[in-house]
Amino acid sequence: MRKPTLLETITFGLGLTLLAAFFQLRAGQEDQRQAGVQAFLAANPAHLAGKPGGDASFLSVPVGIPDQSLWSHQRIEEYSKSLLAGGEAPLAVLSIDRLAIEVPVYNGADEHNLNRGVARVRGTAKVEDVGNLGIAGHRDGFFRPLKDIGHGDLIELKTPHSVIRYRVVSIEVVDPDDVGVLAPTDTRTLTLVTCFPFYFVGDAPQRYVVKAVAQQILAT
Amino acid sequence: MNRNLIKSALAIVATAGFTLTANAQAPSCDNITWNAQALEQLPTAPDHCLEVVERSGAWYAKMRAQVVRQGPASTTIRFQNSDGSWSDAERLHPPRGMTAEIDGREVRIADMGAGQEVNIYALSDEYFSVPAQVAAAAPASAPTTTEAAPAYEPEPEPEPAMLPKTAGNANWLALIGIMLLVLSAGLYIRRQF
Repeated sequence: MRKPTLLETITFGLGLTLLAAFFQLRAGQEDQRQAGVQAFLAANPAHLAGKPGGDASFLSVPVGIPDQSLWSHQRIEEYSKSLLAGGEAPLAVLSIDRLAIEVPVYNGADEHNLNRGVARVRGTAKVEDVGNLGIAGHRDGFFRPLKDIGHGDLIELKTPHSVIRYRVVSIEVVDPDDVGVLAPTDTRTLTLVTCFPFYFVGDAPQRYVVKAVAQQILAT
Repeated sequence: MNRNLIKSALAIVATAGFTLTANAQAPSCDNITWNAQALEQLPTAPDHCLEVVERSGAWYAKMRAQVVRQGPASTTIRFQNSDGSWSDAERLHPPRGMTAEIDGREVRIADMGAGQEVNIYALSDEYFSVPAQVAAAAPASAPTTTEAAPAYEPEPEPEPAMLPKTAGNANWLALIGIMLLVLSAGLYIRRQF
């Protein structure tokens, strides 16, 4: 066996470095997802009601939320902020149990927000309002499991004051300029958007759109 | 905290078109006495009183607040002091759906934008007392003035022109990394034979 040349060593090292960076990025996104969910729950402890000691076992949060029943509002907010390490707090938490999705929803589908969760598309309904709420997520990240979503699947949106349960009514693939899917509606509608095809390097040419309508609204 | 004061005061009126009565015997911010409830909720209330006005036979202490920022479940505001300066920002937690009436429109507190200012009127019986001689002289009809809060339009969000692009650049790292590893392995193997 001959010793590797300098060129071989460099290309090998560079390749390993890039792969390590990729996995580190992925791990960082997962940490941010967990921090976002925790921050939302910390700011909205009503979602943990009936779970003394902040038993968050129904969530995939690694560390339980502390019991905040005796905390002041200000302390709860400060705690929530501390979990985010800067940046805006999530508006809501979106969950699809069947696909093991649980991810914070931020306001505005920019790169920063899409790297730490999913994001409400500006110009669409607000998370607690009646109308068409558009939420976008990375197809190679938090929304990749959407490839397996089906008609009738349940989607849950935890907002500061309620839990809204949606049921999937349609799935379609559209062009990026087909913004009609985000057009306002008179009913409480949720539109999830991600790029398509799911496995594609570079800018994917189409968009995968999942529409769901509200079935149940529970006040917290 | 002062959120209860804000809540009830805003419920009374935080409005444009609020018709006020100027009265020769009107009490002033200097001679009203804030009660314990008011001072408990807002210890600095005397500093924020801008004037005392009358409406429908009741006295109100007028304060002015400015929204500093909105959080997911809170609204941070600051009060104008009687000397024109602004107080330190305070975070409030207005109840869900709480609104103020501005220019005849119901506006959710949570929808108010940073910089938005509202007038807040604290009711005398609830938060302060007026001097006895003023209270004895019932407010009479007098010239009226109209208090106008600046109109507030929540900044409209533009409708999306395109569906969002939802793929990061991380995959390129993996792809190039794998290609470099394959290249390295290929060069090495080729040299062996």
